[in-house]
Amino acid sequence: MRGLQLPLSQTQRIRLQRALEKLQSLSCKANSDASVTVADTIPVNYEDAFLKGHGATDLNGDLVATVCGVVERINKLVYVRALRARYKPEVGDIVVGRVVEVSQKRWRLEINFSLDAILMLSSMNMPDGIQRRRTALDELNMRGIFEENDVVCAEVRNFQHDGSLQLQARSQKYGKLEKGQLLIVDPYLVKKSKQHFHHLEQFGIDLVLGRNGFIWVGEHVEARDSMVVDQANSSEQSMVPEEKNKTHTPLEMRQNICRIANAVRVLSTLGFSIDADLILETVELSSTVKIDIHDMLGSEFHVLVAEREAERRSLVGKRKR
Amino acid sequence: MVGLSVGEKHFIQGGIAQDLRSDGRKRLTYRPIYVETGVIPQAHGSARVRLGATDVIASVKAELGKPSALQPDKGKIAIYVDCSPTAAPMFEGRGGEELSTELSVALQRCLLGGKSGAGAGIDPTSLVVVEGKVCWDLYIDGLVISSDGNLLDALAAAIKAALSNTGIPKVDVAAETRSDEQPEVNISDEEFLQFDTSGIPVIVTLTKVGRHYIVDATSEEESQMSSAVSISVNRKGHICGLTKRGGVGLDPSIILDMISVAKHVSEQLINKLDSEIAAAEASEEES
Repeated sequence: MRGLQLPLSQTQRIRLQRALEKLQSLSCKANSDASVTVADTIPVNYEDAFLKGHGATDLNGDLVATVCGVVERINKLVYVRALRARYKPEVGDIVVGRVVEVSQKRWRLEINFSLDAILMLSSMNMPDGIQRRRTALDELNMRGIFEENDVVCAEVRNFQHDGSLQLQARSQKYGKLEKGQLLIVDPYLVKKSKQHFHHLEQFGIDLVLGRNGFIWVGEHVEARDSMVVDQANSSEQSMVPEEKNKTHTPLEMRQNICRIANAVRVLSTLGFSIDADLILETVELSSTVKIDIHDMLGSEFHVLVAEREAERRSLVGKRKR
Repeated sequence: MVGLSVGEKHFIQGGIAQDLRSDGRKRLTYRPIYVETGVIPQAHGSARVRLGATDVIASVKAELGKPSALQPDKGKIAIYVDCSPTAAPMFEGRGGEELSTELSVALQRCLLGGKSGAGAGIDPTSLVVVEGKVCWDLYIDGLVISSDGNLLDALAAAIKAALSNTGIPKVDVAAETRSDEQPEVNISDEEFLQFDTSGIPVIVTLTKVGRHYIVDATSEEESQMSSAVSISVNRKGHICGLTKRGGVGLDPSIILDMISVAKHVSEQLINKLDSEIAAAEASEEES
């Protein structure tokens, strides 16, 4: 865990260390030999033919790791998967990105990958909902759909020949994200799951866990039929900015958004995998302890979350046995 | 600096208007401050201050020098800030120079007082060794490692912490010297004099977004600001310096209001900072 930059008192430090040691002892049963740091030897049967992949190199006849990570073996390939690397996309992943450039017939998005991802105009649903060929007029009106710096949610479609990504946003649930805040965490904390879009009904909030580490927390927006109306309204809205001021997010919803955002921040500082259940549990913990929203980022709450997680995992472990 | 979409900007402005910012803070709440002292062993004093994701280091080095002819009873203090390229890619090469100069000048105005040295937060008369002949030159350097808004406040806090960590070596002056000769000085390696930092002011930056002011803005909130006023207040509640940034003009009544808000906020900030510095020094002594 990156050096926790929290002002911890002596007791808090001891409690936190105890909780983290407990978590480590619970997790490190099967894979204790799988995690390596730089210059560790990777245990390999040298008589079998094997291929060395990323993160492993031959040093004096031994296979040695060059990055800190976990050893993965796929058939004959042995490689080290680095933990804190950039996002490694897979086809079908849901990602959240920010538009960096609007070019000919495509948008370029930044998604915490080594290259920018491309969202083609043809991979977007048209505002009027009709399936048709994109004309030159559509191309000129691209800024009406997404502008620079917009936050967009899309799915990975495929890889192009030069290694860059192509995205698609054909379904109603993808598209522009507004009325909320974007959080950036490490990509390895968001594991692949069945659902990445969560509509938290009790708060009325949308939570999108992008696999690239971009997490969106915002007001719930109904599925995108409103896109049809948007085209007509958007020109009016840009001329009357005062109208928008009257429709600020209501205070209670804003409090919920901030609480969830702070829960994500706490989990990311502690290095726990982020999924919707854990976020909800953390938010519940904060309400039971009656802690102020801003104090969730203080040391006491971090220690509480770590202890709670250690307890929860030890219970799960006991149930399995 | 990452851009923000229209929806996000609207969310931030709405939060400030409703007194609930993106991380749950109220308008006048600071982020948790984390102070470490003695981070640079070769310097006479140093400190690192983290304010959220903003990370700055300040170091103090003292050298013996000659006081200026106009002010023979005062030592010299120089403050300089450098923005490291690790904070933002645009700081590479000469990109960070504009921001560095702006921060250095603002800090000098707040901490060093006027040209005659009057009203300085750091008392230069305590730096003189032999009047007219030998004095200490203090070089205070600030380094911005990571920038997430509110650099001035963090730098001022780091300088305050570094100065309280500073030990000026004791100097023995050879007793008999003629008046026109340079006296011999013997710099002790053992004994150090601690600085009195109770008079050093802190800087409170108030950023105006819409119709409200916020304290300790993150870089996202700073991108929405219309103007920002940085006010340096000391323990007695006196104002030691004032800097305004941003292109939008302010009504004078707003500035007076901001000053009173800054005075109110500074009391808590000074107490918090002093306790953090004391804790940091205590833990440094343990290790």
